[in-house]
Amino acid sequence: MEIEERQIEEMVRKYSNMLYKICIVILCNEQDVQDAIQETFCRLMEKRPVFEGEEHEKAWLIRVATNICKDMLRFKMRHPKISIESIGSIKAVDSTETIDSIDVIGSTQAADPIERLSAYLVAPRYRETLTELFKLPLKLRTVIYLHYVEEYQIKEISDILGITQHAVKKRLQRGREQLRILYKEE
Amino acid sequence: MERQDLKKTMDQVHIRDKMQEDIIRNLRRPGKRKSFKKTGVLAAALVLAVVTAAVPVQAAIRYLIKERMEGMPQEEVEYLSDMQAGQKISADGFSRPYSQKEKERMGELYKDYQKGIFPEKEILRLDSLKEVEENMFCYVEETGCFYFPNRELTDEELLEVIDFNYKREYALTRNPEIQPELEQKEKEQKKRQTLLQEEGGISLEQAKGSAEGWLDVLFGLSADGMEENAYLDEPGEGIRRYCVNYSIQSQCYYYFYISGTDGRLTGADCSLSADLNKEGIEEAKAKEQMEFCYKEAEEILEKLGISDEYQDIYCLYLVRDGKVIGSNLAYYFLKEDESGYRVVFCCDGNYLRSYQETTLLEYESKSSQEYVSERIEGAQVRTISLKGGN
Repeated sequence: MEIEERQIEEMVRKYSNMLYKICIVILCNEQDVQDAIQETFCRLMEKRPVFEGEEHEKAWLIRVATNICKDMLRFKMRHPKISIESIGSIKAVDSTETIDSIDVIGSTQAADPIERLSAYLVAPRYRETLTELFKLPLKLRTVIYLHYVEEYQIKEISDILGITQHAVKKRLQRGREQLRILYKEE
Repeated sequence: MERQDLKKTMDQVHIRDKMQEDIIRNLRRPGKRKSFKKTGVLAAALVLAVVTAAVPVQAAIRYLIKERMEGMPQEEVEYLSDMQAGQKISADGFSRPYSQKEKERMGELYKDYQKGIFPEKEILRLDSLKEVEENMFCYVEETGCFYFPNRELTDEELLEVIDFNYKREYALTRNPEIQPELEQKEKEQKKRQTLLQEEGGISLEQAKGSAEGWLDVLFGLSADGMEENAYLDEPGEGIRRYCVNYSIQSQCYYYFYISGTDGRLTGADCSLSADLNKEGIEEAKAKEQMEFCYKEAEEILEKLGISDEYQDIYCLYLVRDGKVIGSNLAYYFLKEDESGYRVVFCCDGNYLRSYQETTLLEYESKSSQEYVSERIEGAQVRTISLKGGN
């Protein structure tokens, strides 16, 4: 099914909530989340991919959105902008990009979304869950989210993120350990 | 934590209706997008703020802009084309320069424009200078000059300038007198590119892909939001190289030279409007940066996949009135076979200015006072040996 322009609005209404959740988990910054979602749909309008079905469509959007989010974080690492209040806490950033550096950027901004998102969460248990989730390093957070919230399987996550299935399994394992998730053997 | 806790938690999180509506509105029709970004202090040296993206190949003009240009009435296109033909100027004039803030915002708005954020109206165009009043924001067709008020231009006004520039360029390409020439040049380009590929060389698309990668590796930038131009260049002596450049209108230009035969990067350059008319730093301060920039230059070569043995390494710079011209330190890495690499760093900010394959001959030429004096009045050349050398 080819994308027609008139379908874009329908797709925004259908998928923006899903993209919002995954982007906030990665970016931890609501201001950037809107940019990321908008850019995702801009790419959709530009590329006009032909989808084999709804699942293909959804996976494509998630893949593009996560790539956009990662690049935004990468850019922030190379061109830091800070508020005047936080000048004292600047860390020198190595010119060589590492995932760990991106993780630092990802988690230092986490305070803002937790506070805002917590407004949705009545039960303290859920607020606690959110806090635990945002404490995870970015790499683990993303995989945990895709598996437990979007319910993607390992192969699907591997395709979406462009990493090996082994890497997905490892990140899931480490994420579960850190979250102390109770699970049954799959 | 139970495994279903995460899903239950996130199931309660929703995008706000307003955010969703804003996204739909921006995607559907032109309009100014409210900035959600907080202002902050720039901690890094570079002024540019570019949203990065992982798009493999970038179109030179986004389809939304193309649609807007093609939607212009034919009379408007012809009018703009005739207007430019009648102007006796080769470049736009401005009643005052852009402020630093305006330049930064323009860079951001330029990217917004690429995504279809268009101004609500057009810039006021006046026939002659006589009609201009104090603090007006307008363009005078007779003189080809923009008149800016004595205050910061608004986002709408900056978008109107960007929009006007695009429309003028578009009108030029539609000029019936120029069109055949442009088409002919395009045909010749395609022919030469096809010939190069038949001989085992790389394609334009491959060169663009490569350049986009180098833009990220060397300058840490994404091509997203930038205008791209690419063509096959044959400057002589059998050299065939692709020139790929990325720019944000009036802000910055990045040039890449990709060998047509083997796809290697033979040169890269960056030019920032923020550097124009900027005074060079004091020589003493530049010397303090020399070691650091030298290490950075070595890292650049590593990023390029170059790990050769060098017979000589020099740092070369030009001084005038005690200041280093352009704040540029040029590092020459010269091999035994007299070929080599030149990496130029701007030591006021410590960023890469250019990279180029070079030769001992070029170094000897550029390090001679005679050569420098012929070209830059009052400039003194300094060379410092970092390895080998005299």
